[in-house]
Amino acid sequence: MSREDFPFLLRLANGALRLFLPSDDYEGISGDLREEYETSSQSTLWYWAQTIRAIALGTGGRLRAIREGCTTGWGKDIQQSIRRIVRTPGFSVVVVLTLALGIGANTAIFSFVEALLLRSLPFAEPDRLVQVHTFNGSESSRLSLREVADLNEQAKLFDGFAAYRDSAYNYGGDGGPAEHLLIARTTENLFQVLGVPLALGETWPKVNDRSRSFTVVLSYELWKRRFHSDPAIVGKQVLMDGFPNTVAGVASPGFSFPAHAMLFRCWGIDRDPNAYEARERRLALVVGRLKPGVSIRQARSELSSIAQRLARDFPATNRQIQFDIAPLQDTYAGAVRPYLVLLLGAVGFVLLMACVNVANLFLTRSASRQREMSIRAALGASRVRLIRQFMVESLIYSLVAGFMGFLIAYLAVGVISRIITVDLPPWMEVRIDNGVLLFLFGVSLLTGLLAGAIPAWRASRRDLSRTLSEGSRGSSKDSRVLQPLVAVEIAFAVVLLAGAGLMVQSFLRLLKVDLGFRPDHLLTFDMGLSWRKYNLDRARQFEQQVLSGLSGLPGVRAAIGSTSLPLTGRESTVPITVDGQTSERDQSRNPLVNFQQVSANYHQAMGVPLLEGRHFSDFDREGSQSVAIVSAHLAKRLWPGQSALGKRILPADVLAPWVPKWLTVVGVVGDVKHESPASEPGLDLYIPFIQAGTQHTSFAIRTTVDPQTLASAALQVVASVDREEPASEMVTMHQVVENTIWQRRLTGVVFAVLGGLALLLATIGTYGVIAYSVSQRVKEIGIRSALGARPPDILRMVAVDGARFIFPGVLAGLGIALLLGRLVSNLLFEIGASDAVTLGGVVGVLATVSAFACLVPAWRAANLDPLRALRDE
Amino acid sequence: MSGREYLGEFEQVVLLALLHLGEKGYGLAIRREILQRTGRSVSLGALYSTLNRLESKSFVDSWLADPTPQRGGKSKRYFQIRPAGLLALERTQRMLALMREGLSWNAVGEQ
Repeated sequence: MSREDFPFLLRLANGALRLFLPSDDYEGISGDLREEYETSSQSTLWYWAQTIRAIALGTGGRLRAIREGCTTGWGKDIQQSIRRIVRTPGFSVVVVLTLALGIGANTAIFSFVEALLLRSLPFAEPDRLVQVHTFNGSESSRLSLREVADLNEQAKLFDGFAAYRDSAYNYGGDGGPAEHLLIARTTENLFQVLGVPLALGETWPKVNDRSRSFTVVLSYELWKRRFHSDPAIVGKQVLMDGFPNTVAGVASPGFSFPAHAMLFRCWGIDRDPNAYEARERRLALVVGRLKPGVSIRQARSELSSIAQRLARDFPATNRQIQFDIAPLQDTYAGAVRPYLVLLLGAVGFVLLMACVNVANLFLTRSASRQREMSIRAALGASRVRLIRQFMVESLIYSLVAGFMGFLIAYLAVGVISRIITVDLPPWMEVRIDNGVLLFLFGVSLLTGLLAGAIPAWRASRRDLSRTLSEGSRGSSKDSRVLQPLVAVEIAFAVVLLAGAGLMVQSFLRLLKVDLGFRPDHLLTFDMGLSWRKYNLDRARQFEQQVLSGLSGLPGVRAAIGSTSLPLTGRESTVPITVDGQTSERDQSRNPLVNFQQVSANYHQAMGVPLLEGRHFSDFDREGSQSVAIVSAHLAKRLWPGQSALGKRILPADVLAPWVPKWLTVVGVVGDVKHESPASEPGLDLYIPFIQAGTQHTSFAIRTTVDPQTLASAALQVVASVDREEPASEMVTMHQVVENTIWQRRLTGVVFAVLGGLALLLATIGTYGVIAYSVSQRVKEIGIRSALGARPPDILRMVAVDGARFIFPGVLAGLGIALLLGRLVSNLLFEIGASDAVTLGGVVGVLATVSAFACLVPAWRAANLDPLRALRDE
Repeated sequence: MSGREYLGEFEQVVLLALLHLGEKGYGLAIRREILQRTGRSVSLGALYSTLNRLESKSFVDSWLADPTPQRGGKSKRYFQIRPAGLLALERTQRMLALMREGLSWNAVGEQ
């Protein structure tokens, strides 16, 4: 068996032996183990058991050797430090726990920062990738395919632009269970723009993007799972959504875009070839690749001049339309970035507080070691030598704390991950990887240096003769050093508590927001019907059958359908024309509206209040007058000061194959939140299903029981109507709401924990300093008592001592909180960063708690027996 | 100091094994010798830690032989008992024999 054949686990064991054993022992033992392993066919377990025992029994010898080998220098320092650490277990546990909490919290938050913000996208040179969108004044939107083509022709600073949009397919053509696949419809150059080669085959010809053709590239995972890694798959036809699709290629392993697509199909699908030329059909999300060395600013100015040209050439569609770009990475992590940066700052503060506390502990203890230090100095130890000894001890503490911090971070990442309910792209998985470990190590070292620096400096500056004459107690000057440190700590605590107060209140207020509908007892799911099997008539029938099946279930109060339920991020915005607007100028000022097809009972069942007019009814049918309901917000925007009832709107033709027609407004309903509870309510335009039709419907049932319990019954209803059409995304409305607010919940929860930690640390710090200063002044207090000072006098004396650093600390903290508050004000909801009640509360809490922390040692001092105090001294 | 020293139980076992093995005493061989004669399986770690202790008291000598491929290119570390070790072993055995005099195993077992 050569070295290479020797199992990895056993080589690992040998590595451990080499690390821990003297070389002779390592040579002998690893040889013996190998010989026994090969000749007596022992197990790997046996090998490791032997290794561990050899290390356990041998390390003692190694340490002895270190100790004997270096009676001076680092070895000696390490040895003495370890001895001291072990000798004072209580002190050591407090130091290690304090640091470990700080290090652990930082590592946990950093692992999220690393995964969500720092880890680069799994595409070639991801820094050059940008997301392109259009905006019209304030509203941002997608691009039309024609505009993407314009950009590809005219933009010289880009290597290319690819269009894509999310979609879904039902796949069950191989006889296996029907499956709902998230897919991306893309132009053929997507893989080229992203710089990711295919594993098999090549993408479809360009012409397929602009014709009714069905060509797909499979994701590697889908190819493996549903096609058994068939090497001859290229060119074969697979049945998707009832259509035969030609497989052009297979993507490389792990590739997905934009996040979870299992399949990439060519853009073209429309029956109408002119559809690809329509500039107002802005459906395409666009990713572009900058040429090397081109800055975002340069690229923006080029796009701006292209937009101006288009506006001039095509005023009907491109007037006031601008292009903008942002780094592609922001698409994924942009929303969470400010929250994570804020949390990283907050845990940084906690770590600083932990360092201050530990520095305090060191200082307090170093006072009792002054004599030792002075004698050492007298015997010729240099100052550097004395500082080094302190630093070594501090570093050993921080490394042990680093290890514990790792465990804390590991647990915290698990807990926090559960708060993040959205599906992150696979490459953003949060884990403690090498980068995080490096961070952990760096933070541990830094912590050790920070916590050790001041005590080391102080301890080495002793005036020899004074210290020796003072006896073993420290001078009262020590607490003069400690006090500013604790003041800093209190300031940090104010900042963190203020942050916690604001974040938690923001979150609680968010939970209380009126969403415009009742989110409780709602179970929702999606259906995307096969286009081949379902024309609009049949789709309408399907929806009616499912709705009547669902409403017949026990425990169901009502069943509703809609093209986009609130907060699901599926709303589609369309331009509109309003009856009576004559000039093109008026038209172009019309807002984009949220266009929804809903079942007749939608507003009643969702709990959206009717403000004016009527609900949809069974009399609104195909062939009868085309009716619409608008939200109050939209009514006010379009017809300020007038009733909306009887007014007419024409939605633009973007939702083919539904043919748009003039709609008469018959009702006005309350506003509904669409993006998140914190967002502005949408401008909503509702029409009844029955007068339009769609293959993509979201269903919801309003239940009288826990909605989760009806999930399988709902699936059975769907299957009973059509077994081949799968329902997807079955979640309760509460989960849907949660998906839109998880960043704030995360921030609220983490901040609350950090605030509590900060309060605890500040209390311990204050208590420590006062207790120490009292212990330094026992003699003085004794004399004062003997001379007639009464307990209240003593109490006041100690309290004044405390107030001297508590008040400046609180004030400084308040100042910092107000200053930093301005940076976070846009992360807050319905509360100002300088909210007087919150800040006042924080000051109150901190002042009370630190007062109590002062009071305990003060009380003890006041009740000191003067005789005993003087005798003990 | 070594003139008065007595050996622990495991130290005696190891030295006795070394005596049996003569010039062929290295870690694994000693382990096997003990296993074969007494049925007691000792860990290499315990063995080496005892041998190191005996070596530091100058009761045994050790040296590394040439590496062999069978051992993954590692050398055998051979041990040999030294006169001082032999003396200490004799002394300890004699002490034990003196202490046992007049006792029978039966009598011990009945108590």
